[in-house]
Amino acid sequence: MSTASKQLPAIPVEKKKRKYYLIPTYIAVVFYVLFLGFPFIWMFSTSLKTPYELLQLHPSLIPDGFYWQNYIDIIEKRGLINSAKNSFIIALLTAALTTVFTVPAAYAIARLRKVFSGVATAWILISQVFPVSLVIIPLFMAVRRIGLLDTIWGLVLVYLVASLPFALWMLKGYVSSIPVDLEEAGAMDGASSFQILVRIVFPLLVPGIVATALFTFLNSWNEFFFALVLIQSPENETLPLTLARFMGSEGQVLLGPLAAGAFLATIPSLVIFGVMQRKLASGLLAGAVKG
Amino acid sequence: MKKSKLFAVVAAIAMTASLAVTIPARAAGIEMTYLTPAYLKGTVASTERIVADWNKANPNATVKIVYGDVNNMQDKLTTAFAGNVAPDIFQHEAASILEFSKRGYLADLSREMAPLKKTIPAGLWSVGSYKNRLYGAPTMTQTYTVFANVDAFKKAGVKIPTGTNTFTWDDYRELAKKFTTDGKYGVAWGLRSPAAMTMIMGMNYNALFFRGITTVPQISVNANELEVPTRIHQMIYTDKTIDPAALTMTGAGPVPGFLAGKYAMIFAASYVASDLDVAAKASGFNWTALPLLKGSASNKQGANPQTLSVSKQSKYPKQAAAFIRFMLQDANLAELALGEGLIPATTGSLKSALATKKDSAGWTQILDDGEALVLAPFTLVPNYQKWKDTVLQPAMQQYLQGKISLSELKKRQVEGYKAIR
Amino acid sequence: MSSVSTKEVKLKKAKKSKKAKLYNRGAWIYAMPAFIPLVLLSVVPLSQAVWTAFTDSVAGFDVKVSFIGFENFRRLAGDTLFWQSFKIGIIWAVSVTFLALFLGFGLALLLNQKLRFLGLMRVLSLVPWAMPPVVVAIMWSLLLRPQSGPIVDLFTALHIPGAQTDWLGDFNTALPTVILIGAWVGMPVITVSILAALQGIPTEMVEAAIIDGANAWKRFRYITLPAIRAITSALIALNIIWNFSSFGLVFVLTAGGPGGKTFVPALFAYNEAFKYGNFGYAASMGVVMALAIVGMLSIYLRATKKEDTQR
Repeated sequence: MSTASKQLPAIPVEKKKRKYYLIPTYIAVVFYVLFLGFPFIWMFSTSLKTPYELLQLHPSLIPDGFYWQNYIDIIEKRGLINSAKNSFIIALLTAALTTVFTVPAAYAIARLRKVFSGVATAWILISQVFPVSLVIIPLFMAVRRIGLLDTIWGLVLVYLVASLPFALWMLKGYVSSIPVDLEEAGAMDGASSFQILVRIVFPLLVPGIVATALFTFLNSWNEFFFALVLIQSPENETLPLTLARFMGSEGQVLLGPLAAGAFLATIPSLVIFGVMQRKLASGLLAGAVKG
Repeated sequence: MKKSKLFAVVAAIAMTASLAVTIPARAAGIEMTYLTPAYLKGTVASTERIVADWNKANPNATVKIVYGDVNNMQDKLTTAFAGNVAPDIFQHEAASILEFSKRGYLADLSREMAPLKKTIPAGLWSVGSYKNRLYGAPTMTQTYTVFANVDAFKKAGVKIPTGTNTFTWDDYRELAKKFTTDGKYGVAWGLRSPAAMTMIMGMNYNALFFRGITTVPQISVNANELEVPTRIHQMIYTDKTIDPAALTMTGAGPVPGFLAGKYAMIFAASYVASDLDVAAKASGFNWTALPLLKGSASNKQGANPQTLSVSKQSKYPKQAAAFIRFMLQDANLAELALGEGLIPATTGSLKSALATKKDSAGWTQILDDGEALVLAPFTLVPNYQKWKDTVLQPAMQQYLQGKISLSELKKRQVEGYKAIR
Repeated sequence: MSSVSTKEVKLKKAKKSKKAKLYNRGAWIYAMPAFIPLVLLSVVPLSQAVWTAFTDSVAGFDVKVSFIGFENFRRLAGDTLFWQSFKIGIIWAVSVTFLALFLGFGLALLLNQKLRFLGLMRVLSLVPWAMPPVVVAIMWSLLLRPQSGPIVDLFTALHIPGAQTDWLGDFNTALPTVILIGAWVGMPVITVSILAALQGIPTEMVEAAIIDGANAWKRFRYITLPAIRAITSALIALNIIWNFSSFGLVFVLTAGGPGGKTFVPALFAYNEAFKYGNFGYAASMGVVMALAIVGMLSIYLRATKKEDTQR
C-alpha cells in the first residue's frame, strides 16, 4: 500500500511542504529521544562506575573507566543468571498458557449472548480495580491451599489469572473482527465446532495472539509484588526480587550492581520488542479497537 | 501442519520448563530458614560465612539463608505469618517487631537469651521486649550524629570536640556559625523524612509526647517536645547555618557535598560512615564523628535496633534460639555490624569492633555511643506508627521548610492524633 | 474495512448475530479452562477481600474475626486523612493518564511519519516499559537529585529558570514531577496501541482527502482522530484503573511527602493493612476505591458510547 502511494502525483507536493514543519518535528524528536533515553543511558553509565565515583557531587555521564566489577558481582555472587532463568521460564509459561486459555475463552465471549459477555467485561474491570495489596493475603491462602506456594508453577498460575482479563479483552476484539461467514462455511463443510476453532479461527488470530503473548511476557518478567509474597526459596527467586535486594533502608542503594542488573534485565525485552514491534503494532489494532 | 507444529512447540516449552523446576533434595536432620535483609557486599559475605560455620558445627540443625529486601520485610512477614509459613528466624527492626509481638506472632526468647542479658545495654534489651518478654534479640543499631571534615576544622583552627556527654546543642550551633562563611554553609542536614529523627533526638530534651502510656494514652506536646524542631528551625532560618538547598535531601543525601568540601559538617545517621570510608580509601578524605549531641536532659536517643526473632510458628524454637546466640557471638556480630556501618549490641562484640577500627577516630567515637540508646516510651503507644507517618511526617516537613509556624506544628500534632481512626 | 458503507456493516451485523446463535451454542465450553483458575485465584480471593471489609479482621495469631456490618465504612467516612489522600489519588490517576496519553499520542504521530532515527525512536519508545519497575523510580530519583544531580546540572548549564529546584522535595513541584514520571512509565502501552491504530488508517483515504483539498488539520480532525477514538477511550479507562490502585513508584520517589502532597490512597490502604495490621479497615478502603473508580468509569464509558452512537 505504501509503495503504491509514493507513485501518486499528490505526494511530491507534500514533500515540498514538509520542509516547513520539519524543524518543529525534529525538535519533538530530540525531546522524545532525551526524555525516553536519558534514564536508560544514565543507568548504563551508573553500572560502570566505582563506588567512589557514585559519591561524586556532580556525577558525569561518562564514567572514568569501565568498572566491570558491578557486573561480575551481580552475576557471580547474587545469582542473577538463576533468577533470569526463572523469570524467563515463568514469563514464557505464562505467555503460553494465557494464550491457550484465552483463545477459546475469548472466542466464547465474543460469540456468545450479550449477557455473558457483559458479565465477563464487568469482571475484567472489577478485578483490576481493587488494590492488589489488599487481595494478596486471600490470594496467598488460595495458592497455599492448592500446594503451590514457593513454586514456579504457583507464580505462573497467579500471573495467568492476573493477565487473563487484559488478554481476554484484547483477544475478544480480534475474534469479533473475524467474519462469522467463514465459520459458517466451515460448518457447511461438516467441520465440528472444535475443528472450526482450530482450523479457521486460530490461524486468523495469530497476530493478535503474538501481541497478547508479548504483553503477558513482559508483565510477568517485571512483576514484583506477587513474587515477593509467594516465593520463599532463593532458588525460585525471580529477577525483580533479585534486583530489589540491592536496596537498603532510608533510600540507601547499592547503585552500581543494581544498575548493572537492571541493564541486563532490560536488554532482552528491548531486543524481543525491537524485533517484534511491527507485528505487535498491527496485532494490537484489531483487539483494542473492537474491544 | 502449521498448527500442530505450534502446539508441539508450546508443549515442548512447557515440558522443558517443568523439568527445570526440580525440587532440591533435602538434607538429613532439620533445616531452619533464616530471613535476612542483608544486601551490602560485605554483610552478605559475612552472613554466608557465619551460616556456613553454624551448619558445619550443627549438621543436624542446619540453617538456610533466605534473602529479603529491607523495604518489603513487612509485607513478606505479614503474609507469611497469616499463611503460617513464616521463616524460623528473621532479622527485622525493633519498631516493627513490636507490632508483631503484640499480635502474638513471635516466640519469647527471654529464657534462651538470658545468658546474654548482661552483655546487652538495658535500653536495647527493653526495645526488643514487650510486657517483659524478649521478642527480638538486639543485634546492631545506629545513632544520629554530627560528622566533621577534619581538614576543614584544621584549616579553620577549630578544635574538634571529643569525649562523651560533652557536646551540647548550643556548642553545635556555635560551631555551625563558625563554619558559615564566604557563602558557604556550615552544616548540611537531609530532612526529607524528618519525623523519626526528630522523635529520636527529642529524648535529648526528655520529649515524651504522650502521657498515660500504660493506661489511656493522651498526646501532650509542650516545650520539651518542640525543642529539637525549634533548634533546627533556628539554625536554618535565624542563623542561616544550614544549607536550605540540602533540606529536602534524604538522610544520606548530603554525603557527596560533604565529600566535595561543600560543608564542614553534616548531621546524619551513623551508617553513612561506611560511605565516608569508601571516600577515605579512594581519595584520603579525612572525616570524624563528633560526640552525640546533648540536650538539657541528656545525650540519650531513642533506639530502633536491628533484632533477631524466632516466629511462634517455628517447629524448632530451641535450635533457632541457639542459632541467634551463635550470630551474637563477639566476632560474628562485630563483623556483621561493621559491614552495615552499625554499632554491635553486645559489649563483647563492641570490644571486638573497637579493636578492628582502633585507627579510625570517627569509628571509635561512633562505637562509644551505643550506651546512649534507650527505649523511647512513645513507641509503645497504639497508633504511634500511624500518627508518625500520616500526621507528624507531613507537619514536620512543612515546619522545617518554613511553611507553617511552631504553634501550627503543635496544633497539627495534637489534633492529628485525635483524628486518627 | 472502512471503505464498506455503514449500511452494509449494519446489515452484516444483523446477519452475524443470528448466525452466531445458530452455530455457536456450545461455545461456553471453551470458556471453561480460563474460568476455573479465574474463579479459584481471582473471584474467590477478591470476594474474600471484599468480605473482609465487613469484618473487624486484624493481623494476629489465632485472632477471631467477626462480622461488623458497615462499621468500617462508618469509621472511614470520618477519616479526614484518608479523604485527603483520596483526592490526591484522583488527581494523580487522572493527570498521569492524560499526560501519558498526550505524550504517547505525540510520539505515535512521530513514529507514524517517515523520519530519520525512526528505528532508534522505536526501541527507545519501549524503554520505560522494559526497565524493571523497581529500578525506574531509583533512576529517576538519581537523575533528580537536588543541588547537584544530572538534571539540575543540565538545567543550570542551560540557564533554565528555577534550575536549582528540588523537583521531588519542593511542595509545589513534587506532585507534578511524580505525575510526569508516572506518565513516562505509562507512555509505551499508549504509544504502541495508538501507533497501531494510526497504521491501520487506509492510505487511500488520506490520498483521497489530499486530492479533495483537505488541509493537514482537517485530515487530522476527520481521519486521524476518528481512527483512534475507540482505542483511546479504552486506554483512558484502563490507565485510570491501573494508576489509581498503584503506589510503588510514588513510594520510592517521595514516600508520600513532602507534607503529604503525594500520599496516594493505595499507599494509605497498604500501610493500613501491612504496617498497622488493620485488615478489615484497609479492605473497606479498597472497596471504596473500587466503587469510586467503577462509578467514574461507567459515567465515562457511557458518555463515550453515547458520542459513538451519535456519530
